[in-house]
Amino acid sequence: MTTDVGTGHTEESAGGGGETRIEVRGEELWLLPARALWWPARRMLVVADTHFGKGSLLRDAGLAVPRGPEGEDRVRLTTLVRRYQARALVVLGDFLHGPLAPDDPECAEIEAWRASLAAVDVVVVAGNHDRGVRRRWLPPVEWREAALCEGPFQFVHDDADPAGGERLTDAARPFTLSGHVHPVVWLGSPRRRGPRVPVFWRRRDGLVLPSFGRFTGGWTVRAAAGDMLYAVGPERVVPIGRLT
Amino acid sequence: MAEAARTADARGASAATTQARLARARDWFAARGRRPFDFQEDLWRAYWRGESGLLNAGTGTGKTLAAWLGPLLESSEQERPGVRVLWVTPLRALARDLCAALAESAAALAPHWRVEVRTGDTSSALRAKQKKRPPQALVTTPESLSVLLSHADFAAALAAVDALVVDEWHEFLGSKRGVLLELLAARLKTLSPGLRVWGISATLPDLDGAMRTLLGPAGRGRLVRSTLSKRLVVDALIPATMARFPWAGHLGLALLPEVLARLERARTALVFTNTRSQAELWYQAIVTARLDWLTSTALHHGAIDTAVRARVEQGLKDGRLRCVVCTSSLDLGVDFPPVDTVLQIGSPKGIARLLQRAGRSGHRPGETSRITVVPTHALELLEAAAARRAAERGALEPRPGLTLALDVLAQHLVTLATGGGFEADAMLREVRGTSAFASLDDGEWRWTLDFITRGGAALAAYPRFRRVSEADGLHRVTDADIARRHRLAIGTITSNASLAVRFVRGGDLGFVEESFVARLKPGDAFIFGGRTLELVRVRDSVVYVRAAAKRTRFVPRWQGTRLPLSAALGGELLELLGEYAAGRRSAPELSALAPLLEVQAAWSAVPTAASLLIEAHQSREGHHLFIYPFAGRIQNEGIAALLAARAARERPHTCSITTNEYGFEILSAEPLSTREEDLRRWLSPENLAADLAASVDLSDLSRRQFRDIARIAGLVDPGMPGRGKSTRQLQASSALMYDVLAAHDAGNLLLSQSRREVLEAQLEHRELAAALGRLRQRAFTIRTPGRLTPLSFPLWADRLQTQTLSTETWQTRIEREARRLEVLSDSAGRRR
Repeated sequence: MTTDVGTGHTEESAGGGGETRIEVRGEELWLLPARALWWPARRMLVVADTHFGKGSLLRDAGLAVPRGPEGEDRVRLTTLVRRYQARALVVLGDFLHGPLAPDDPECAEIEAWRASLAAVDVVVVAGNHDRGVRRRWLPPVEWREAALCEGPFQFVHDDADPAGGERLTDAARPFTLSGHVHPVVWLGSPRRRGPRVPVFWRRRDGLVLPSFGRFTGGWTVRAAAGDMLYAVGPERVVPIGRLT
Repeated sequence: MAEAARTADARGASAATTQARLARARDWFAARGRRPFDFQEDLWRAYWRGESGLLNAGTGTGKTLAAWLGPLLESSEQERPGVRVLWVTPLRALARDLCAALAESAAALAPHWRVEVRTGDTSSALRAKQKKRPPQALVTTPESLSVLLSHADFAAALAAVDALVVDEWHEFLGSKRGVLLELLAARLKTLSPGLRVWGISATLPDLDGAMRTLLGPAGRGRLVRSTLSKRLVVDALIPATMARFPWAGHLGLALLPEVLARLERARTALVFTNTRSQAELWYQAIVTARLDWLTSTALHHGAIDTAVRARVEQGLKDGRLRCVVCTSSLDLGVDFPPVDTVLQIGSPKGIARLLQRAGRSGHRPGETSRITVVPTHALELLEAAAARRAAERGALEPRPGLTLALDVLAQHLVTLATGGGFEADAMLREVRGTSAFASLDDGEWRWTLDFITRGGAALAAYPRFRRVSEADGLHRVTDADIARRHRLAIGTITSNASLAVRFVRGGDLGFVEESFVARLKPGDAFIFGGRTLELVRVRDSVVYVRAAAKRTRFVPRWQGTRLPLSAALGGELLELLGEYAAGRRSAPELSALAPLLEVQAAWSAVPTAASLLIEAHQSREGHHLFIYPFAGRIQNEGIAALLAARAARERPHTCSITTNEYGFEILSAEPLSTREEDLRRWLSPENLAADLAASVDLSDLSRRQFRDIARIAGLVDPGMPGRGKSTRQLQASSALMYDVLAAHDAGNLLLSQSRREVLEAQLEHRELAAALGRLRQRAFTIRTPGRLTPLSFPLWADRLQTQTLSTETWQTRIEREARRLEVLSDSAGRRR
């Protein structure tokens, strides 16, 4: 298994849990169909954009959203942590959808969820939706405003401007794991559109994770030459190459 | 007798008053050298007797004065503060011109009256003025009227309304805007008990039904018909050479020289297309061919910026423009007197629509309206003939009103809760007084109230939800933020996630759908608004573009613009084919199509109203079954899905389905039975609803259908123009909402409404049952032609085009196959 950083070409292999294993800077990473990333060497689980509290904030604004999706997401997260026996869980930003009032029932649920994972380090790299969270209710996790660096990787929320703006970094920077854009692609042909699926988006020096929260939208990826896309199916992660 | 007279006196004007008013009206006409038509006087008299009703009249027949002078002459006799006449029109763009037309007679007959417009385009200064001093007559849209009712102080000004006039009622009928209008009329009747409601409608098959829908099941009314009927001519451009193996788009621009010749002879021409993309292509083609017409040719469709559209409309009125290429965006509206030529590119799709478009020429009473169909493939020639035949017989498509649209009801209830509140029991009576909600049951009413007050029926499922709250027996919205967002949401009934198109240096061009932009990279060129543009970047829901140096034929596709062929038109087509089969060349188009139909008859058979044609054919691709019900694309799709599912239930197989307006192809690896008894069983109307639900992916269809429902019911945030980022936190797509509701509140009635709309509106379940019933009456003509026929070729070509990515390959393959079949049919002809 080799990775050619110059062209961005990656070799990958499929694993028994439906994951696709890729190698980046000498480290093996698993792309899980649960929209999460597993770094076996560090026993670290990485997800992005959970957007907890979204339903609550929408109900506050008069939009009739039922309760349920975020609770289900937390159960999925716990299941993953248990299944892989993760030591650390890193959330790449937008942990909350917005600042929550301390008396919001969602806060108590997040606290209970955190307590159930007492043996795991939970680190949140704050995202744009997490702005102002400190002033209202701060979740009981390791809260970081700055990037987290581990091994050859840096963990951030937003990796520059994927919409076509200038990149923040040069080629020598660490490989960046990020979230923020909720990447998806439409399968099918231009004339007959297939389903819309979340993707892992492998770029020259970074990997963008799909959003973990089920109650979140998606942004259609504008992949550049050399980028790789991995579609997240219900049971497997499948490399699909370049598709727009 | 005496009783009746007393009632008439109490409710209506005395004979002397009526005569005095008639005299004033006649004088006003006489000053313009004209006399009122009988139907106009009939309507005024009925209005003064206190009656409501429906006026059946087309554009250019004096319908506006017929509906306007009655209320104007009566209401101006007695001054009262508040709005006295409300005039509702389907398009904002029409409001200005209507207002001018109404103001002209008001200036002479009631000089102290103000006639004003209130739409989404009305400036805030004028809005404030209208609030302080309401005009006596207000021209508005259903959405703006809703917004007015959401302001408690303006609702009071509507208590003086004597007349509600609904212009172009046929445009509202059968849509959710129509349902909203029914609710608004009921509200106005409550506010102003003496209110008279008059609709103005083009000809519909069931005018009494159309009137009942507007007035409510209990409301009685008078039907007034304009006695003027315009002469109508429908013809077709018949190409010099006719392809025997047509496929969609092949003829495409082939008739451009003939179209240019027509335009050359015209003073002002409207060129109607069925889709916006087609409008863009034809505009490009015309101005490329005739650069000297560049400044006198314009493009008009719904995605183009309103300011640009208004300039085009003004140009039409002034007679400055020679030609406007347009879509249904110009179907409606005030007259453009200079227009003398109307062309229809491609299938007219429906008869009522063709008549409407034809009516854009020859406005003055007594003039002839003419529309020329420009076929984009050979069989559309036949559609022109069928449409003419149906128009002559007055066989129009029926348009029933919608019922039980709970999304519209929820929106309306929140509107009233925002505008001062409502009392639940009285409200239920008012709502049940409309045709749309006459059969609303207590459970549905309770659920809708729960939905706006608690979020859903399951109380525990929606903590912290607040929208409408009940206090002292009144349902009200108390939160200013929720009220403001609701007002923004009113009227966003249509429009998909669309992005504004803007020049990098500034200047708005209009809107494209997000799904189109998603396929473009910066630097890609596309045609929009008649210009070739290059994508620079997409940022904050704005597509930034610059003029492109390179040329392209890439045109955005807008969704929701493809109308299916109507069942009425499909029936006429079969009649005509039957006449051909019986040896009668009863229309010039049939003679032109003879080469194609001769091949069809020789190799297979010509379908008729009495026989359903079924062709079975085997090729390297597999086993093809072609069936031609002529039921329109949507119906054909439903029939095909049903047949495939029923066949698969008996013996599992996989297949691919392709449909067009005339028929469908089922391609399978294993041969399907072609025995008549099997086919009849698979096409039976029995057990339709259950089999249909099992045959199509209902959940996917209803998720898409839910988009409008979620927006109307206020389940998704409308977003605020110009405030992109600040409201992003509240955004959740309707598809996401659908999934969340399906998983966590499956009893939500809006989900069932979505499924019902898919079955009724999209799959047209009832029409499908009727179509299958008709198929059952026909003889089955089963043929094995051994090759593609003129009727099956377009289906085959369509499938190829849909499945293959590279346009080059399908084009070449289809051309090769078409040549092969032409050669075959030539040799067959020689043999005969």
